[in-house]
Amino acid sequence: MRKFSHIYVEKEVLDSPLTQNIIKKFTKSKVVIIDRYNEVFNRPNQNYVVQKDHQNLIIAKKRYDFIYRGSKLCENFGNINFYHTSNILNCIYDCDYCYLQGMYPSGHLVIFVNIEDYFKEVDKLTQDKKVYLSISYETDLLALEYLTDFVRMWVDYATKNKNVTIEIRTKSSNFSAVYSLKVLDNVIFAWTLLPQPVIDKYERFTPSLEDRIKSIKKAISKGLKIRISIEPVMYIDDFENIYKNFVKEFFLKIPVEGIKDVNIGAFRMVKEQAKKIEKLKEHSPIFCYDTVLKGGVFTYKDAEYFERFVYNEVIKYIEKEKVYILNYLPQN
Amino acid sequence: MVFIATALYIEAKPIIEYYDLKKDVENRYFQVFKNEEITLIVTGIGKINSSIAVSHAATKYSCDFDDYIINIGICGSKDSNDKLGSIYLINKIIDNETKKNYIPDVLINHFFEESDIETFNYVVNDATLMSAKLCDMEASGFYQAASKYFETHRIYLLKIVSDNVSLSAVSKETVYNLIKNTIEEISKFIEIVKTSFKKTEIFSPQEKDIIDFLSQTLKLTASQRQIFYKACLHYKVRKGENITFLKDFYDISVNNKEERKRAFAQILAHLR
Ligand code: SF4
Repeated sequence: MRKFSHIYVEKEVLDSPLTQNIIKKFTKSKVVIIDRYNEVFNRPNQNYVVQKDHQNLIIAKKRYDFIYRGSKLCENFGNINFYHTSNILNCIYDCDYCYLQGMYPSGHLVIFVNIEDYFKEVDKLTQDKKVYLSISYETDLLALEYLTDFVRMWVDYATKNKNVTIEIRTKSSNFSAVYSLKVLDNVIFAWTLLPQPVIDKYERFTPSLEDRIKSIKKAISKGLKIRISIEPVMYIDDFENIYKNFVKEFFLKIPVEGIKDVNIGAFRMVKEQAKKIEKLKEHSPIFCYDTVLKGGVFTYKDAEYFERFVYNEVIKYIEKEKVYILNYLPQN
Repeated sequence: MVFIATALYIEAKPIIEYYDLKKDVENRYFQVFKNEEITLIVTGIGKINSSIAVSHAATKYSCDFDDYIINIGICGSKDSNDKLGSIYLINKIIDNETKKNYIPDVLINHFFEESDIETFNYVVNDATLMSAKLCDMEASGFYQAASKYFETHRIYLLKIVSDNVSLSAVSKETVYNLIKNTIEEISKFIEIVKTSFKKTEIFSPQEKDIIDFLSQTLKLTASQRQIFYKACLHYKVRKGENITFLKDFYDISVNNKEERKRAFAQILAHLR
């Protein structure tokens, strides 16, 4: 983990135990007291890419807009009340395809420490309905568990609220950080996996496929049924062989009984975000293959083929019913 | 290019001497001193003067995407233990009048102490009025104007303590010496800034020449040039190979639109 040279802390949360805990871990960082996190996060004229390379940390209080309705571009697994929320903005990893680059004005990491306020909002939202809530879309929460303990707190919360199902999506190899937690029906751990050559080409700082698999094994050994997310399926030369071997190897190592379901989705992004990212990172490999704009969405020209190919490989090993696919609807 | 803004001529003088800057005699509005790498503007005292001058310098001397701007000047300190001549890199600016904060993006490894600073509209004689450790009369105006033209990590403020608060008590000679005594450190800092965010060039100079040469030979339009550049870029990123094979097309000649179209399509096909 790279250290943050500067930690910007909102005055109002300076004394929060969580803030103090985080600050204690970075004794060499300069602590700068601010009034509101947007004094840093929303400054005009920031350079996301440079900031990502020299990432600093902002500790703040979330005041409004705690929970959002799920985007159409995300798989909702058949859940109608699909929402997402974020205690953390931005991520310590740096994937070329990450849509956050086109969404946020800053590459610095924001941690909102007032997690109890999030729980209160979820209480309200789930008063009269069941809700599916993804808590790790705008970051990798598990990767930051050693700093924040947020996953543990969310799982504790889920024991008390059966109307919420929580999905924790991750690329981290850090499952041991939450190994001692209870296994709950309404908490789903989801690992995003791609072939190692794709990780090498498109992801910076993420754990290797092998390390993620070790983490998954640990989770399954605890009795968890985990979700596998093969997305975004990214193109690479020798695509077919690479993805075929990846799927095969994965199912050799992971018992099918431990897998709740698998979802597959080709790379896709809202047009405006893609434009912004291309401007920021014109050398990024994502723009170097055949892409198209379909109804305001930027994706591969052969997105459906890529998805279908991976789908056909996956169903060699696991029942069709457990496999979700984004664009292509499998016919029986 | 590195832009430097100082409030007073006497603050600029040691910098002008060190870098051997020459006065831009044609500038009727501000005192500006330049060499090939540095443009220094004397802004006058106060945040409004500072922001007007920074805007003037950025537009008149066409600041570029990869340029930097540094505000260098003296300040007061409310810390009575602070030694005269202590130099700080500013990490937070408070505007005393509006109470707004401005946060410079400090993303470099540097050797200075850091501090916050509060910008007042008047000379501060009473340390109890200050909520930051340092005070001056320009920082917030400088930063606001600079952040219109420069990315946040390209803006820096270096402040040298001239007094424990009351700025008015400092003689010109003292100000001159304070800056002069720190000029070596300042110049080292400028070197760090200049080398910290160097972009890696994707094309070698030879490859750039090839792209330029073919664009000219084929008399490509602006949008065709753009397409050609992107095709070369995508080829290089995808394959990880250089584009020097395009030299094979050097003797191609086009006499009309039709021939140009055909030749261009042929080259693009090689890059697919
Ligand atoms: S892990 Fe997810 S959130 Fe983090 S950089 Fe990669 S795509 Fe973005």
